[in-house]
This record gives sequence, C-alpha cells and structure tokens, in this order.
Amino acid sequence: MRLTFTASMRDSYEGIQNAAERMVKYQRQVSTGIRVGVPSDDPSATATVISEKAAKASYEQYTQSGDSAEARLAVADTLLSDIIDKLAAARTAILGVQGSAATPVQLENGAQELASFRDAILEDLTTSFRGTYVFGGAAGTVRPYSKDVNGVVQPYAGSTREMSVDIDRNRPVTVVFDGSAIAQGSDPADLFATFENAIAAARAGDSAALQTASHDLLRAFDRASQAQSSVGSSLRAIMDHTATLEEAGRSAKARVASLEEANMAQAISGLQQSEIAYNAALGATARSTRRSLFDYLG
Amino acid sequence: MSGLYTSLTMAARALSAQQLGLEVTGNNIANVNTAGYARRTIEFAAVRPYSPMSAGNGVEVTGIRSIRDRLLERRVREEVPGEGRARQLAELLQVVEAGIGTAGNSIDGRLTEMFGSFARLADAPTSAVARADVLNTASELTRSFHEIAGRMSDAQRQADTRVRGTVEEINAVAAQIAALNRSMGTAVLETRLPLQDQMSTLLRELNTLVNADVVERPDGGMDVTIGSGRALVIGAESYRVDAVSQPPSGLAAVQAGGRDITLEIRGGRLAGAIEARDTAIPDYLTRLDAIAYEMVRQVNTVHQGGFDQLGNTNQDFFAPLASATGAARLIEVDAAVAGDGRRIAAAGVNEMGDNTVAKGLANLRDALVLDGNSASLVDGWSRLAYRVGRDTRSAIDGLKTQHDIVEQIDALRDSVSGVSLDEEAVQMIKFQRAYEANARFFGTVDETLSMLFQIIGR
Repeated sequence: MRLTFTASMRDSYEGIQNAAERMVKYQRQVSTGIRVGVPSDDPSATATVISEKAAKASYEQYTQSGDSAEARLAVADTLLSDIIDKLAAARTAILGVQGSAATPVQLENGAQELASFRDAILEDLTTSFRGTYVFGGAAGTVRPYSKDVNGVVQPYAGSTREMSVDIDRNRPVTVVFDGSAIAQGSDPADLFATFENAIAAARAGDSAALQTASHDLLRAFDRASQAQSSVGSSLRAIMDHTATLEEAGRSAKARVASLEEANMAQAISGLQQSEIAYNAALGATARSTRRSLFDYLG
Repeated sequence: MSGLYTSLTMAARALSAQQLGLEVTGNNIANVNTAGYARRTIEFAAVRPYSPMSAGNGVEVTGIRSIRDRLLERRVREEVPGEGRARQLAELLQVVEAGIGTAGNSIDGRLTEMFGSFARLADAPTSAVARADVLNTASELTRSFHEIAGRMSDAQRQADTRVRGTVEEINAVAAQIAALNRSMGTAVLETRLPLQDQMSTLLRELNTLVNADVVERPDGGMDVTIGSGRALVIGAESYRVDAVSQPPSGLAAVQAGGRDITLEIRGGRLAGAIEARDTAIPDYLTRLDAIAYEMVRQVNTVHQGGFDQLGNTNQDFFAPLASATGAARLIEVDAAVAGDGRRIAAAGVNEMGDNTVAKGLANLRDALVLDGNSASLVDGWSRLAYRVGRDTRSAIDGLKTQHDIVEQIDALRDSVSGVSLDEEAVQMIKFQRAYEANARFFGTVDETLSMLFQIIGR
C-alpha cells in the first residue's frame, strides 16, 4: 500500500488526539475524584446514582424525623415520670389525712399539698415543645388545660386526635398525645376534678370521699404509667431503627461512591499511561514529519 | 538514417518532456495538502521511427492524468453522511446533557428537598419556619423545572438554527456544483482535471451536509438528488432547498420544490440536527413534562384533602395544569399558597396540629405514579437522565465508528490518489537526471555539429 504524506499526518493527528482525549479523561478523574461527570460517561451508573442518592436522602430524612421524635418522646417521658411521681405522692398525702386522728391544721396542710400536686400535674400536661403542646393532641397550639378565674381547671380543650411522625416508610410513631386519655380516660371526670374533690374532702375530713379520690388517682396513675410504657417502647424502636437507617444510609453512600467516584489508583495509572502514549504520539509525529527523501537530497 | 538535426530535435523534445515531468511533480508537491486533489502522472510514449534504419525519434508526452478510484470516492461519499449525522447529533445532545445537571443536583435533588420539607412540616405542622421551608423548596423545584425545560427548548432552537444554516450551506454548495457542471461542459479535456478535484471536494462537502445521490454526466459533470430523488443539481441548474417555518412551533420544515422533505433526510449534518430537534429533544421534553404534570396532580390531590391554618380546604398547592404539554415550563406554586405559608394544608382535619396531609405529601416521594404506576417521580427523572446519557453515548460512539470508517476509506483513497513526498522526490530525481542526460546528449550533438562546421570552415 502506498503511504502518503497526508495519510501519515492524519494518522499522527488521530494518534495525538486519541491520546490527548484519554489523558484529559483521566486528568479530570484525578482532579475531581469523579468518574461519572455527565450521564453519557456511564448512563446506567448515572440512573443508579440518582436512585441511590434519593434513597440516601430518604434515609437521612427518616433519621432526622426519628431524632426529632426521639427528642419529643424524651420530653413526654420526663413529663409522664413527673406526673406518675406526683400522682403517687398525692395518694400518699391522701393516706396522711385519712382517719380521725388528723387535726384541722393537718387536714388543711394535706389539702394544700394536694393542690400543689394538682398544679404540678397541670403544668406537666400543659408543657409545650417546639411550639405545640405535648399532651394537646392535634389541636397543636391550643392549651389543653387551663384554670378559670376561680382557679378551677377547665375540661380538656385539646384534641383527642394524636399526632404521629413517620420514622420510616409506613412506620409512624406517636409524638403528640391526647392529654384527656391520661387525665380522664374512661372515667366520668378528669383527674383535676378528682383533685378538687380530694382537696374538699381533705378539708372536710371526709374519709370516704378521700378513699374514692385515691382510687380515681390510682386509675390516673395506671393510665400515665401505660402511656409512659408506650413512650418507652417508641423510644427504643426509634433508637433501634435509627441504627438501621444509618447503616442503610452508609450502604447507599458506599454504592454511590463505587459508581460515581473514580478509582484513584486506576485513574492515576491511566493518566500516566495516557501521558506516555501522548508523548510517544507527539514524538512519533515529530520524527515522521522530519523524515522524507527530501531531507537527503542536495 | 536520421541526421544530427533530427537528433537535436529529438533531444529538445525529450528535454521538454522531462521538464513537463518535473512540472507535474512540482504540481503534485504543491498540492500535497489540497483537499480532493488526486495526484497527477505524466505519460510518455516513444515516438515511432520514420524509417526502418532509424533508432527512433525519442519521446513524446501522451497525456497527464489524475489517479482516481471511482469506487473509493463513491464509498467516501456514502459514508460521510453517517459521520456528519452522528457528529451533529452528538454535538447537540451534549448540549442537552450539559443542561440537565449532575446526579443529585438537578430535578432529583430538588424533588428530594421538597418532599423532605413536607416531612419536616409533618414533624412541626404549626411551625412558620417549616412552612416557609416548604415554599422555598417548592419554589426551587419549579425554578429547576423552568430552567431545564428552558435549556432543552434552547437546544431545540439551536438545532433548528442549524437546520436552517445547513440548508443554506446545501444551497451554496449546490450552486457551486452547478457552476462546475457548466465549466465542465465547456472545458477541454486537459483542463478538466482541476475541475474534477473541485467536484470531488464539493460532493464530499455536500454529503457531509446531507446524503445526496450522484449520477455522473457524459461530460464529467454530476447530477445530484437528495431525499427521495428530489433534484438538487441537474446539469448547470441548481434547485433551491428551503427551510420554511411551520406553525405553531415555528420550527423549520425542509422543502424542495414546495414539498416537505424533512422526513426524507436520512444522513448528513442536516439529518443529525433534524433528529435532535424533532425526535430526541421533544422526547426528553415530553418526559420532563410528564414528571412535572404528575407531580402537580399528585401533590394537589393530596393537598386538596387537607386543611390549612386558616381553616380552608380543597385548595391546590401548585397552580393546576390543564395538560402535560408544557407542564415543566408552566409549573408554579399556587399564588395564594406562595403568598401565605399558612395556606399550606398540612392537616387532615381542621386542627392546626394535625399533620396527616403533610405526611401524605412527604410520602409522595416514594409513590409509584409514573409510567403506568411503575416509577416514582425521582425514578422518572432517573430514566430521563439515563435516556439522555444513553442517546449521547450512542451518538458519540456512532461518531467514532463512522469516523473510523471514513478514515479507513480516506486512507485507501489516499493510497491511490494521495501525494507521496517520497515518491515525488524519486520522480523529481528521475526527471532531473533524465533532463541532465538529454541535455548532455543535446550538448554532444551540438559539439559534433560544431566540429563539422569547423571542418567545413577551414
């Protein structure tokens, strides 16, 4: 086959161009650390990376929701612990003023003590966290319990609808509670009415009424304990699930990295090889263009 | 027997012949980089002797011809349109590809952010900050849709501009071919060689623009048709191809003699631009619109079932869209919602702290709502990105393959028609030495004659 100057130059140029393209490709990988810069670099890897990044963001979002729920539930747990403590103490105080031996002063002190427990529980049940009442249900910003001008606690004003957040797909956790379910449950009156009855009975030295109030408070105690148990279960579930989500997030991140990121050892090696090829192509071109029969004439 | 004068004449003719050989060599060397140039060779023949006792009458030039392989030239013309189409398509799709952004930082990232903001709203449905966050992320998402739809439309217009430009280039080349045909019709045989070189270059150029069929005329000129046999050049006449804007898009249809031949164009840069403009980019836009439209529909459906903080229900979150056509360009957050974050319906009942609807909105992230309920919105974007990447890759690979084919045929053509400097150097020496030898012969005859004249003069 005849070899011509033009064909030789074209081959040389193609060689230089191909080597330069490979060198630029590896150079970009080394400098950015990314293997897939545009979809055409690896279309199926691009599609997978998009899905994996969305999945990773989803795990992160659920982890964030779990963290937030955990914080709310930790507050609810503390408040319920306090309510349980106060209810137990109130029953102890009732026991202290029951019987004929109590003096009027002791009865009044007992009544005062019961009133302070009532107020403490009222404070617990009307605590808000991040702008919403923990025991106000879906009413959100509506104070669930409040006193009237005479200092009497009014009936529940919150919502009986509880609020949950998803800590994973189809995995809701209740974070805002129906206060009336704790304060009243299926009883005819809420525990604040029970406290009012107990305070009046203490002042009157009415042992039978105090006994009834003690039973009512015991049921409230049971309801609060049950609610706390449920909160504890949710907290454990969140902690367990957060670990799972974090692991899933790490896996997704690793998969994204394996698809998207450059293998640096391979990229550096490729860069070196392509640089050698580029220099060789340049050298070969320079050498071949210097050599023609004309160089040897005259 | 010939005389010394005859020998002198023979030597002079040989000198002229070798000189012409040198000229041909010089011409070849001068045109070593000329596109379409086919190397020339000079053909010598021995001049017949006038009598049986004559050794001969030297040499004469019988012709100069260019070395061409018609088969290879036709193969080049057949393959060049494929390269032109692939190059144009690759260039335009790379523009689209650059416009869709990178994984995680485009529509997919914005979708994830918006649904994340719905999840945060579900966590704090009474929070004004969470509501503002929802509005911000939704607004960013609509902006992304606008930008990407805009970039795709720009790429489509760019492709249309190339269609129009290429049509003008085709007309210009066709006019040059017609002019060459005219010249060939009147040229004598000896002056046709440069015209053939030019014709070869022009036909290649034309085939880079559009696939053209060529029929050679008896006078060496070429008749050219494009599409399904539409005349472009017949003899000395060229027939215009027009790019005519079509309503409602305003994109140009390619017309020949008033007939739309857009669908008949199968090769060359024109075909690449048409394919990008009429097939690839509209497909991407349709898919992008489908994502935007379905998202608006799904979000609005869930949102309508909720209550905002002002007690309103049955309200849209996004401004409703009549159809999927142009959805990515038209998508907007509903003006009432955009102006007042309290209008976002997060609650399933008329209670401010409820988050049922916000959760429903957040869960749309994973809902399979596209492609016959087989893909989520992010999956839809992922499929679109895959398609753009696959098409671009395919065009780039096609270009490389086609380029290699053309290169190989060019190399074959060059091996026949190209100028080899080494070969020309040899030719140059050959003619130079022949010239020297003939000059010496001339000198010898001249000296002999001089000697005779001296003898006569004594």
